[in-house]
Amino acid sequence: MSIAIEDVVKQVRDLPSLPAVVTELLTSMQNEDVDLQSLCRKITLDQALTAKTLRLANSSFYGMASKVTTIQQAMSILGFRSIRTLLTACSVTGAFPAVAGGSFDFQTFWRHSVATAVAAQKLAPLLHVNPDTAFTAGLLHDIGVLVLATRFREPYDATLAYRREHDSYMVSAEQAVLGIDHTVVGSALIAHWRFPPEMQQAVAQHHSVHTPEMAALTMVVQAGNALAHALDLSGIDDDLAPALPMPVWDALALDDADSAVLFAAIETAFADMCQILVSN
Amino acid sequence: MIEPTRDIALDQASAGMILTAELRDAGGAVLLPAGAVLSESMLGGLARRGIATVSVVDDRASEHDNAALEAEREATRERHCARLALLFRHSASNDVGAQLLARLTHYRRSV
Repeated sequence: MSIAIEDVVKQVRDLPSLPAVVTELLTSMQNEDVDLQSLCRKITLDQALTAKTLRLANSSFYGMASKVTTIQQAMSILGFRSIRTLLTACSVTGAFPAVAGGSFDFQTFWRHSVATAVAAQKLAPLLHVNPDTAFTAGLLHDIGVLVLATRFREPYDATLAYRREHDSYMVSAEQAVLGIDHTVVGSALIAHWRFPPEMQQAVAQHHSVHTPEMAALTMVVQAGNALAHALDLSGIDDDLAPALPMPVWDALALDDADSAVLFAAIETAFADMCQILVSN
Repeated sequence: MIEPTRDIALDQASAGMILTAELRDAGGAVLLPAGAVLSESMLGGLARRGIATVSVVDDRASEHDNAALEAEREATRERHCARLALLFRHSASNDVGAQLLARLTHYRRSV
């Protein structure tokens, strides 16, 4: 059943490119000098993106008294950074439409991805990481799972069966059955999509043991993933909360009071983001 | 249904009270939404973030309902703790796993 990395790279090259407007947004990640008017026009041309942007602006999270009806209004309320995060998220979810059959559950996959994104976003300030970058990296951290589940369906069904039978972590099941795991596959896709290198490391190393070279963003994603499982946000019956490397836990330095506010903030933001991103 | 509400100082607030308005920090970011149930540890966290007053549901008139409500909450807490034990079945023996489990158990029990 084992899968060669060459086959993975070939499959990844065949995946659709991200929409041009998203590539443009990604290249602007380090650059705040963006033409907002032209961006608004481009969003307006895409009906699905427009609907999702307005849904975010009107969500309870922003608590606006009156209804937001135009992209220009949404931009002034949410800010450019939130819009960029949202559009990236929508495009990534759009690149992998759900396919029927097989034992892979797309809904559960996206719930866990959104939960990790939100948890990473809320954890980010603790390690001085940009919350928007953390959100995107969290959303993408398991993207390799989607490549495996959609491009290598039969081997992946066998992996899921192995995981259930051995009650193991998904990454261990992948290594046992496929000889490759979703962190390797995911970072190949992130490189193909030309996301920033720090995001590639976060995807590649979110299950790795700690090293002194590990970037703060990677630690935030590791912790976000652990909290998404531990707060039971993914909706998987036999889910497993992973342990975190000690240096990551120590760096976060959460006491009971901080944790309670953080956990509540993650649960609230998760409910909002699910409505926007997962439902159609 | 519109809940009767009262504004109280943070040091008058106690666990189990329900917010009727969201709480925002000095920067305008939402800390807790309306409808959130306050816990002891949240109160400590809010004090540290400079929150002075909170708006909560005024339930002083319905003392007799509180016993039934408390029983229901206890059942929910038990369910949550059993679920946590299941989620941490592989990681609770690890040092960090055990600490994270303790934080979550505290969080679930204090609601």
